[in-house]
Amino acid sequence: MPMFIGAEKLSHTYMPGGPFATEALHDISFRIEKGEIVLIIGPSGSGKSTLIQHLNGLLMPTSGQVIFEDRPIGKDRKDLLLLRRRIGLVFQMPEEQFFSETVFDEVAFAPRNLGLDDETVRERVYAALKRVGLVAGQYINRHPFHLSSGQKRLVAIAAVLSLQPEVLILDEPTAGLDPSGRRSLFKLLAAFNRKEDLTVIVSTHHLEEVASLADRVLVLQEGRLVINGSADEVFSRRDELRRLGLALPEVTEIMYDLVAEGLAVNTAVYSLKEARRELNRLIRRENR
Amino acid sequence: MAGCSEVSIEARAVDFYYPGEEDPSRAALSGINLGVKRGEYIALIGPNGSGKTTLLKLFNALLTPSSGEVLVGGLSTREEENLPVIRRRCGMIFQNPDNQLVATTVEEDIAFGMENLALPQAEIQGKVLQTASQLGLGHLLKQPPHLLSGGEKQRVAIAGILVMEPDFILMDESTAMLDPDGRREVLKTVVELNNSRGLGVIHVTHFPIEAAFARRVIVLDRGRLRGDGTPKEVLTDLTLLHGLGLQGTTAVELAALLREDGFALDSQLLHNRELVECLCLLARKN
Repeated sequence: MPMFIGAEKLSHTYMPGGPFATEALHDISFRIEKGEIVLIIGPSGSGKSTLIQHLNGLLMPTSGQVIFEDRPIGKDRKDLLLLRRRIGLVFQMPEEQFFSETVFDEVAFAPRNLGLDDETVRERVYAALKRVGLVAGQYINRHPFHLSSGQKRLVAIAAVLSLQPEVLILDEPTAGLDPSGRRSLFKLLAAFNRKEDLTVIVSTHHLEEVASLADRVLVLQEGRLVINGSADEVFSRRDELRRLGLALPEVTEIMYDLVAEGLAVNTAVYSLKEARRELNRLIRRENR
Repeated sequence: MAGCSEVSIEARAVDFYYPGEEDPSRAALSGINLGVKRGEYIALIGPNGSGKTTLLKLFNALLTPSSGEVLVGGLSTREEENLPVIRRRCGMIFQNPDNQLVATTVEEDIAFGMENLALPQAEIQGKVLQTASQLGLGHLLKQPPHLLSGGEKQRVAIAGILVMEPDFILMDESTAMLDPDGRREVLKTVVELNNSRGLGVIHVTHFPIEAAFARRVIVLDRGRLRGDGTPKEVLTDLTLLHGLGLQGTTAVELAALLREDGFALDSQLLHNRELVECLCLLARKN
């Protein structure tokens, strides 16, 4: 079967050969299908950001390879430019890297670099802002630093969407956002995924709003891929995740606590909506 | 309230405008009256842009009010000569641990504030050792800070403030970038310091579960005080919270949904274990 995006025996060592050589990734293999929503979780320092930066060719493997559409990434430089257009990466706290005077220039930066004409750049900017739910007319002339944190984050995502990528990778996208900002961001990602078949890869410490969307979860520990499976497969390994210092979504923890009290509830529950349905079922059945 | 010696931080009719945003509709804070005593543990919550960080910065005199007054231990943050004392009393921990560690080893980093006060070396070393071991950092003293985990880095930042013997620690989303273990480490440290030393804590957080650790929760929205009470009072008030785009704890949210479905659940339950107890009772009834 053809591979959309993935890694084969990927290892990465920072500062190889010297006294400070650190192996950040070790022998990692996985495959991601087109249209999946994938979560990458793991303690701080487990290699999540390093892995993500390999997926669009910002870092190159020390050994092994990263594959996109059946071809190893990074064989020549022209490939790499095309690749970064097709695989968009939103960094941690991306708004810290804003450098333009207006929202328009910020979002137009990447399409301008593609050498597109002014009219096409304008179309791209308007379309990208619309996709993240910002009315272009109200925002293009504003200073990016004067927006709220949530709006800044959306502008940063629009700046990547302006390249019209097929894969969107986000490194800890909700850090610093309030609850409604977190909710609307994940709603947006789910909609891109559903309507446009965009493949979405998210690395995060906060599972609350995103766990119920995941098709696949990759768990990293000390540079190794220790678990790779569906959300149900991964989140059912609660003790193992705990040993890694990772937490399940809180609502899932509540279901486990009920099981510990001897109640027969399904623990494969990752959102309030699912928990509500499951608990209705439980209480009505027990009281019948 | 005025003149009460117990009140350590006091905001009196504080308005604040950022430069260029002097239009009253764009006030970062308006009409804030607030007293915080030493030994309190406060969670400060509110949507992005509600003024939480601005308020913390007013408390340790990084900013001064556009009108009104902030007093720390009775000293106004407006007076230049008060600033060294105020900043020692109110230490601030920021969101990103990498932005606040300055030295090449953990030991030097913790000592940084005291070095600036030109204290004798022996005194500095003694305090660094004592504080580091209290926070479980004793084995890391010779390490360069950039090799530590996120939770360790934040505890080093806390240690660097503690050696200055502050009355308050102000945490601006200091757990937001940490993994679950790191968050637990930092929260546990802060709870212990609050219990054992009576250190005042003001913790800005977007996570209701973290706010539930506090003994008082203050809500800001668009620069105004919108709520002030115990976690039970504030974090179960979904009319208030949802109106501002905020959330209660998962237990509170789930209980509210189940009440809509006709189940009799206590409207004051806040923690997971309380919800689990109630659900067990319901499920086993009859």
